[in-house]
Amino acid sequence: MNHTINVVRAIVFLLAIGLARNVSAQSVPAPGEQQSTPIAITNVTIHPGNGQQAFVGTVVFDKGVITHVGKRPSDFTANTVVVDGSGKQLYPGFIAVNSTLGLREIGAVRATRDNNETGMVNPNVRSIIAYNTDSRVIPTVRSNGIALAQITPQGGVVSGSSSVAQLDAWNWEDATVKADDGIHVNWRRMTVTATDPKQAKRQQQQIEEFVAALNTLFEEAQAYAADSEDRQMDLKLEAMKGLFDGSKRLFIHTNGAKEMTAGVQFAQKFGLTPVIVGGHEAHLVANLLKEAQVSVVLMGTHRLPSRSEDAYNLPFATPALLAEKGIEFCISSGGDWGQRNIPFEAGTATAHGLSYEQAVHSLTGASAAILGIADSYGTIETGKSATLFLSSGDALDPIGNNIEKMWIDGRAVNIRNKQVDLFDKFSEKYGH
Amino acid sequence: MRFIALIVLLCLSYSLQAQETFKYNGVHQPDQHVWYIYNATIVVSPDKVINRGQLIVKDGRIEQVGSDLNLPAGAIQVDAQGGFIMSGIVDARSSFGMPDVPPQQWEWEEPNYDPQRMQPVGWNDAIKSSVRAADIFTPTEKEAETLRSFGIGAVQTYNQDGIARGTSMVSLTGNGRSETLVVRDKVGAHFSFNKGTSEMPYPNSEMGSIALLRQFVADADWYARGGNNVEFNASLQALQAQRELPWFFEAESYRSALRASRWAEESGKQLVVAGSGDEYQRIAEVVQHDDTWILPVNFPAAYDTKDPYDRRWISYNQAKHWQMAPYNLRIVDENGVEFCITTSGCESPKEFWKNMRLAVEKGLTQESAIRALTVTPAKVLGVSSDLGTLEEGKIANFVIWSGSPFTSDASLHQTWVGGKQYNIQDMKVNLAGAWNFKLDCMQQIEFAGTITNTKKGYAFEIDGVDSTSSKSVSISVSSGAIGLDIHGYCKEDSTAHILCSGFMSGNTIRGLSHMPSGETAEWVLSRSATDVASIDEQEAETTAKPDVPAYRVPLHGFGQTALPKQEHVLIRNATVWTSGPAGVIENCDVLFNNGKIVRVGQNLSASGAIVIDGTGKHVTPGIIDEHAHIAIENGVNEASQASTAEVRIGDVVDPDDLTIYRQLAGGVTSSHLLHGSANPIGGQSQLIKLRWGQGSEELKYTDNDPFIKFALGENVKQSNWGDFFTVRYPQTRMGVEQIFVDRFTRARAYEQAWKEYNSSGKRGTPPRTDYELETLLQILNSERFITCHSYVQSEITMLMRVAEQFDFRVNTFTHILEGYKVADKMREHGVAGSTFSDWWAYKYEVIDAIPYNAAIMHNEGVLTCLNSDSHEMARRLHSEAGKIVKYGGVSQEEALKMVTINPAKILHVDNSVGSLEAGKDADVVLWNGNPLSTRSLALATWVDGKRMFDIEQDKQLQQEANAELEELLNMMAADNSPNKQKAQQEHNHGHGCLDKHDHAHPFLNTQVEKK
Repeated sequence: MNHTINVVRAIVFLLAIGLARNVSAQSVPAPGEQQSTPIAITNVTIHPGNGQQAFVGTVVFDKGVITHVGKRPSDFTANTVVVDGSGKQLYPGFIAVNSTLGLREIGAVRATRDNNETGMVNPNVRSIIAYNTDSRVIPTVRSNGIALAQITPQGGVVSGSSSVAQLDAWNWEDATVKADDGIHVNWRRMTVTATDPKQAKRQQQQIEEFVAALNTLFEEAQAYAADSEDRQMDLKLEAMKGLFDGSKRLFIHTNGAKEMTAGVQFAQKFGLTPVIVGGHEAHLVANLLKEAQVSVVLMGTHRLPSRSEDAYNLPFATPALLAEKGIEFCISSGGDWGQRNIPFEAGTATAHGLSYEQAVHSLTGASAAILGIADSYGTIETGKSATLFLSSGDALDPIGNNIEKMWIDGRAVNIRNKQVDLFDKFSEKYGH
Repeated sequence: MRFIALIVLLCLSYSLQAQETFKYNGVHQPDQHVWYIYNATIVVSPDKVINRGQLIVKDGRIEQVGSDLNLPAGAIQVDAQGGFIMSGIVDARSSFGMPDVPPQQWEWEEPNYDPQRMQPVGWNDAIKSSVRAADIFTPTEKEAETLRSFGIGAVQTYNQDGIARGTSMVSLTGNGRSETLVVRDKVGAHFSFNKGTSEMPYPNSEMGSIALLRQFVADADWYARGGNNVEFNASLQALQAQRELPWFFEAESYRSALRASRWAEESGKQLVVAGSGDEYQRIAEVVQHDDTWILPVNFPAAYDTKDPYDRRWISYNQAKHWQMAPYNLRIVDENGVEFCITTSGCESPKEFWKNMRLAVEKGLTQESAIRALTVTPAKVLGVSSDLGTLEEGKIANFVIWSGSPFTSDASLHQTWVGGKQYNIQDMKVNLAGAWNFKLDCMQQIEFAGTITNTKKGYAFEIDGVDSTSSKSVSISVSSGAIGLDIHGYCKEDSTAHILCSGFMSGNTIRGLSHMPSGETAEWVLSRSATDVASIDEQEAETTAKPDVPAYRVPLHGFGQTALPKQEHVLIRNATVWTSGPAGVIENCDVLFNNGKIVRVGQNLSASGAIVIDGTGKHVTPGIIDEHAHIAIENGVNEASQASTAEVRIGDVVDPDDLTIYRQLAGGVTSSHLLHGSANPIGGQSQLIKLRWGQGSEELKYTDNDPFIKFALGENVKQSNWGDFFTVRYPQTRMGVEQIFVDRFTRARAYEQAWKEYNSSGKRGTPPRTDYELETLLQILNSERFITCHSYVQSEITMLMRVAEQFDFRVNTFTHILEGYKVADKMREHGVAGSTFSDWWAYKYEVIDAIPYNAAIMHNEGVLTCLNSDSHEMARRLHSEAGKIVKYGGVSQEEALKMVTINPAKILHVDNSVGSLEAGKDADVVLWNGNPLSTRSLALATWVDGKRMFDIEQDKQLQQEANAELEELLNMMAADNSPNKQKAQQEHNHGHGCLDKHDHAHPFLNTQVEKK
C-alpha cells in the first residue's frame, strides 16, 4: 500500500471522527453544519488569491468569516480548533465560472439535461431554479478544490440568466450566493466563409441580421428599463432590466478577435461593460479590452491552437499573454464534470509563462471579481467568507492536488464523493 | 457568317448518313469533302512544327500535312491567316453524354442495409462495374459545343458514379448522332473512393471504399476460378473482363491517389490516376509508383486578404498551395512522371487557358504542355493511331488559334472534329492593303489609305494626312459587318462623324452611311493591293524559367524543409525515468546513436556526441498513446455494418496531419491508430511512429503484431445516434454478444472450408477469399489482437467469455471505465486495460466511471495504460499519468510507465520501445521538470534518434512559418484577380467527443461517437 492511498484513508478517518456529520458511503454527502467554533490553520502556506506572493502564516475564521490572516499566529480563544498546516497549502475555494454543474447530469441522456432552453432569446430563464444540489457530479468537482460555480444556461442567442452557487447545499435556495448575476449572449461568428458569391452574400446578410436583431432587442430592453411602469409586463425585457441598473452583468460568449471587438463595441453603445466568455483571441484585442475594462473568462488552456500557424502552445500560453497585457481574466473550462480539471488548466499555464500566484488568482480572486462577489469571496483576507481549502501539495498539479479539508462559509465540507466510495468499495473487495 | 451557316447545314446532313447501316430520308449525299487549310504554323506533333504549312483533310482524316502542298482539285480553302494549328485536346476525364450524378443528400430516415438495385449485379450499390459507357452515351450538342470551345476534339467519357464505374469510351466532340462520335468502346475500367448515388451505408469511409475494392477484386478472381458456378454476378463478370484494360482512378488528393495506387498494385495493376493538382507535395512518392496521371489546372484562387481579422485564418497550407499549384505540372514533368492534362475542374475555356499559360509561365515547357494535352492521353486511351497528332491518316481533330495558345492574346477560332469545322470565334477579317474610299452624296467624299491589321484591331492611315490632322478613320468588325467611323470629312462641321456600316466580298466593301445632316448615303471601299502576311508574326516569348519556390513537407508552416538526421546525443546529469528495471535514476546520463539507445548510466562519455546538460531536467522514453485517431483521413469509422473487420486504418494514414507535430511537442512518439467504435467489430488498427515529414508508409511500424478494434455498449447499439438508428442489429448488449459468436463461428467454418479444399487437392471451386473472415480467423489463431472499446462490467465479462469459448484471449480493453469492478476477472483472463484518467458523466454507461480505475486495475495486477483518444489530450498524456498518482496513489514511477512501457507491452512492441534501455529505439523526451507534472513541458523529442521537436527550433519555426505566410499573403494582396476566396476558419476536433449530439449524419460525418 503506498503513501497516497494512506493519505486518502487518513482524510476519511479525520472526517469520520468529527469534521463531517455523515460519512457513510453515499453518492452525495450531506452539507456541512454551520461553523460553531473558531478554526485556526497555523503555519500554512497561504495563497491569498489576489495575485500576491504566498506566505507562511495563520488563518483564523469564525462564524464563516475570516477573522485573521497573518504571518504570525494570533491569540486563539480557548475553543478554537487548531489545524496544523505545516508543509501544506491553503487556497481560497476555486470558482468554476460558466458551468453547467447541476444542470446536466449525463451528457447523452436527454432527461438529465436542463441547460439549454428552446428558442433564441431567453433572458428570462433562470438557471438557479433548475440547479440540482444532489447531482452526483458536483461532489467530484468539489473534491479537487472547487467551492463555487456560476451556473450558466446555454444555447440560443440570449441563453438566460446565470446565478452563482456554492457547492455544498441542501437545495438551490441554500446554494445561492448571487442570484441572477448575469445575462449570457452567444455572439455569432462574423467571418464570411462561403466561397460561392451567393452563399457569401447570404452569410453576410445573416451576420447583419444577427447584429440588427440583437440591437433591436437591446434598444427595446433599454427603453423598457427606462420606463416600464406604464407598460404591460414583458418577461424577457423585464429580465434584462438588471443589465441597465447594474445588477446583472452582460456575458458575451465568443472567441474570435473580430467578434470580441464587435461585441464590446455593441455593449458600450448601451453603456454596458461586458465580460467576454471564451476569449481565445483576447490577446489580439488587448487594448480594446483594457480600455473598456472588459474582463475575460478564458475558456480553457487544454485545447488545440485555432490556427495552423499558431504556436503549438498558444492555448497554454494565452493566460500569460493576457496577464502581460494587463487584462483581468479567470480560467474555466466550461461544462460540468470537467470543471474538476480547472486547477490543472491553470497549472499548465504556469509551465508557459504565467506566474503561480497569477494562476491561483485566475481561479479565485479574478473569478470572484468577474462574478461580482469579490467583497465576500475569492481571496483569503480578513472579513471575507471562510471559503477555502487545505491541500497537502500543489493544488494546480495532479501530482500535488490532494484536498484534505475544505470549508465553505466556514462549514466543513465532506469532500468525499461517489467515486471515492466506489474506490473504497472495490479496494476492499480486492483487499488492496 | 454565311460560310459558317453553310457548314452547319453540311454537318447536319453529313452526320445523318455517316453510318453505313442507317436508313436515310431523302436523297443520298455522300461525305466527300476535301479541305485545304493554309497559312499556319502547324504543330504536327509536340516535337514537329511546320512554319507556314498546309493541311489537307479528306473524308474526316488528315490526308497530308506539309509546307509546300499543292491545292488539291475540289478542295475548299481555309485561310488560317498566319494562325497556329495543333491537335485538338484529348481530354481523358469527361462525363460527356453521361447521366448527371446528383450529389448525395442525406435525408433523415432509417438507413437501408439492403441493395436497391434489382439487376443480377453485386451486393453493393456503389459497385457499378457492369456499366458500359457506350450503352448510356447520350450526348447533347450543348455539351459538345462547350467541349469544343476549350479546343477539345475527343474525350474519354464514363459514368462518374460509384466506386467501380464500369468501362469508358472515347468520343469525338462533334455535333452528330452518338454513334458517329464513338472512336473506341471499352477503353478503360474506372474506379474511385466515392460511392456516388448509392444509398447503402457501406462504405462510408475511404478505408471502407478501399476494403470494398480489395474484396471486389478477390471476388472477381474467385468468380473466374469457378465462382460463376456458384452464383451469377454481372459485376464480378464485368470486372474479370476489365482485367486486361487500363484502370483509371479518380482521386481527390495526392494521398488518396497513392492509396489507390497501392490498392491497384496489390491487384497487379498500374493506374492512370485522375489527380487533384497537389502531386508536387510528395513528388518522390508519386515518382515511385510509376503511374500515369491525369492532372487538372484548376488552380486555387487567391484568398481575400483585405480584412485583417479574416486574413489570419488563411493557413500556410492554403496560401502556399495557391503559390505552388501552377508549378505542379512542371514539377511532375521534370520528375519524369507521365501525365495528361484535363480541362475538368475549369469552369470556362478562359480559366483553363489562363491557367495553362500560367503553368507555362511557371516553367512547364510548351512541348510538354502540348504532349500532355494530346499525345499522352491518346496513348493512355489506346487511340494513338487515330488521335493525338496531325500525322497523316489520323482523325482530323485540330484547332486553329490566332497564335500560340500559350500567348495571352491568342484566341481560338475553330475546333475541327472528325474533319468538321466548328467556329468558336470568328477569325479576324484580313483588311490589310491599300484602299480607296468613295461616298456618293450631295457632297462626294473620296480618299485613299492603307489598312494594317494590328493585334487589337485595325489601323487606317489616310494618304497625305499627317498625325496632327483631325481627319481620321477607325474600323470595327462585328458579326461580319464592317464599320467605319470617319472624322473630319464633313464639310459643314469638321468635328462631325460619318458612321458607315457595310459587308465585304473579295476586295470590295459596300454599305450605307449616316451623315451628320441626317441623310443616308451608299459607300464603297475597294482594295487595290493586299498584303496577306501583314498580321504581326508571333514573336516567341522567351522568358527565363522561374525557380521553383521552396516548400515544406508536409505543406504546413511547421513542415520540414529537410528531414532531420539521426543524432549522436549524450544527455548528462539528468533525472532519468527509464521505465525499465533500472527505475528512476538521479544524476544519470543517456547516450544514443544511430537511432538506438547505447547506454543509460552514470558518468558516460562519447566522443563526437552532442552533449546536452540535463542538470535539473528529466529524461523519459517517448510517450506511447495506445488509443489515438490522429493522422487518419477521410473517416475514422466505417460505421455501416456491424462487422467491418476487413477495413484497415493502415490504408488511410495521413502523414500531413499537423497533429503529429503538435503531439511531438507533448513528448508523444508512437500512436496506435484505432478505428472508431461504431460497430461491434471495427477495423484493423495501425501503429505508427510520429516521424513528422515522412510518408504514410514510413510512419508505420513493420513486423509488429497486428491489432483490430472491437467495441461494446451504447455506440455499437446506436443508443445515441438518434431515433432513426433502430434498424441495425444489434440494438442491445444481448445482440452484441451474438454478433461476436456468429462471426467467430463463421470464421471457423471458413477455415474448415479452406482446409477441406486444400486437403482434397484443390479440386473444384475454391472457397471465396473473404477478408472479413480472414481477419477474424487471425484473431482466433492469435495472430491478430483485439483492442475493445468497453465500459460496463457485464459486457467486459461477456467478451472475455466469448473469447474463452473460442479459445483465445482478448488483448486489451480500452476505455474500460468499469474495469475496476472486474479487475480480478481481467487479470485471470490476461487482458490489459487502457483507460482514461478521469472521464465520466458524458453518457449513461460511464455513470460509474471513476478516476481510481487505473489504480485499482494496476493494483489488482492488470497491465494498465492511459490513452488519450484525443488530438489534444495526447499532448498532455504525461500529466494525465500524473492524475493516477492523485487518484489511487500509484507511485510516480508506475504512473509514468502507464504511458510508456505499459502501452508498449500492451501493443507487443516492448522489445523496441517504451523504456530507456540499451538497444531500444532512441525515442527519447527531455523535460524541464517532473514529467508527470502539469507544470512541466517537453524541451525536445527524438524519434529513432532524430530530433523531431525542439522547443528552441520550434520558436524559430514559428517565426519562419509566419514570415513565409505573411509574404504569401502579401503576394495574394497584390494579385488582382476578381474572384478571391474567403478565408476558411479551420475546425479542430481536439476536444474529444464527449457530446456528440451535433446534427451531422453519422454516415457522412466520420467523427461519430468515438468515445
